Amino acid sequence: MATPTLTMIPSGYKAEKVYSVLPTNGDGDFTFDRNSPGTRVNKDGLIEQVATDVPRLDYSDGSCPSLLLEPTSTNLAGYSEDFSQGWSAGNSTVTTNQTTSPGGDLTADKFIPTNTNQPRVERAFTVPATNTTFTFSVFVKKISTPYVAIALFDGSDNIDAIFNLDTKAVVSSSSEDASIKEMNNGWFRISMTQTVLSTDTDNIWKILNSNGSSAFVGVIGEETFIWGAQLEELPYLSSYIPTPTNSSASRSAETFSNDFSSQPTVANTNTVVLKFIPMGFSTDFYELLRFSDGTNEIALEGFQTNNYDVYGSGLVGGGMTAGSLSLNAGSINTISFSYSGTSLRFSHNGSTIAINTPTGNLPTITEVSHSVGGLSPIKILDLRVYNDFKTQEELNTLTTI
Amino acid sequence: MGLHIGKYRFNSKEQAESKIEGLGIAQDENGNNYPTHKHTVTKLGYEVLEEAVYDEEEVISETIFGDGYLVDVLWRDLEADENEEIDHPYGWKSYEVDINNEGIHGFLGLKYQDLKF
Repeated sequence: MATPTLTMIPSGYKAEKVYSVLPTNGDGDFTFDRNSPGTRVNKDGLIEQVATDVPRLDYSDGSCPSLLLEPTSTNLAGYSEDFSQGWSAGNSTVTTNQTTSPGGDLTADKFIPTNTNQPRVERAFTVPATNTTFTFSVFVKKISTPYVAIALFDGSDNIDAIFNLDTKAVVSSSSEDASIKEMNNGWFRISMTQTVLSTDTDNIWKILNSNGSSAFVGVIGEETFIWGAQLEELPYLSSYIPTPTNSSASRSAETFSNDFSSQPTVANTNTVVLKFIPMGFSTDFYELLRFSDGTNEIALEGFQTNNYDVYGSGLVGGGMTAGSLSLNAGSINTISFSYSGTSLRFSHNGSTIAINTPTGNLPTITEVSHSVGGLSPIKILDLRVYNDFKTQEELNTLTTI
Repeated sequence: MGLHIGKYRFNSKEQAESKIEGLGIAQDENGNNYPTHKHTVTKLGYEVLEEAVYDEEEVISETIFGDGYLVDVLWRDLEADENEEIDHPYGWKSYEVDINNEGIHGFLGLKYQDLKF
């Protein structure tokens, strides 16, 4: 099989730079920036802070790191690691600094129900001026009970999600979305997404002990460790933003881009193979990655819930896959598309997704970027660009995870 | 790389958004606006004069908002003027709020007191 003109497997980096494996002369290296520090899961499974402009190679999805690229976000929940300040304990007690946190220090708190009626730690936030979708998350670790819940009280209704830390599953949810992700050392990050209306009277988010059947009925004495709460105005979960005081805190957006125009020779002919993790998106058509010749471009974008596609120059309005690529946030996927002047093929995880005809010339890819326009988050595990047109069988082989 | 943090209090949300748009904005082919600058702008909303008070889930008193609309900006690589000094972009300085603590919002891992103008 031909050698890629560009190969980027996240490994080598320094401040403002992500190195590509190919080309070896450095032409394919990426320029990177992020105004503020950010956090990542390091190879020891611990959450750590990474300095301004240093790329985040994140190990939260296994032993192979991914390059984490996120838009800006703000954690509105102050005292994210201290539930004795800024938070209210109802029918429960909180004892601070009881065990090692996901960050590796002794800052995780113990949450102890003292009554079966809605034992909780909660915090009230300002009701938004316009309808706003929030995602609330917290790290939890089992002591005695596997059940923990998140809920939102909007002034008239409780919306909730119950999680089982033994089965590592969402037991039930009345929210727009809920997720559970296993971390290191028995920790899980649980989250719930829900829209708060401007007409709601409350915006109160709760962490609850649950009996497993109801989010609002707990079991006295069934304890849980909690740490790292986060409330953000996003319809998806982003990386952890610590708030050591009662103030909110923001992480800056990340951008990266390269130019390897010294490499390609065959015009309007390319194959892209991308192993990645979509992480949700806030706005239709916000880009995950752009592939360009400097003038014309095509881009991997989100469109409506869980639906992804490649749109852009030389394609019909429905893009490459015409709605046939539905991906769950947080899942590892490999996609590949290949085209010559008159033919286009698309593969996902070893299966054919689309075979169609471009409406015009597709770009000869010489630039890859996550820097222009509205952006959606992505974790890149492996990116390769070939300057050739491959068979569908070859594509399906390349996308077999 | 040069970073500065500015805290601003505008007269209204509309004025704040106008100032933010003035930093550079473009529209993609799908009609979505996006910034063309590299600064990090965080809208904090109208200033809260008094927090809401709750008794369990009952609202005892609502949040009282002021007229000022608050914005924090993490400025990146601002150009120095003819005197080799770096200042707020044109039109922002008169809305600056200079406080002696970190305030109600910060940027992850960075100190306002270290990076303010």
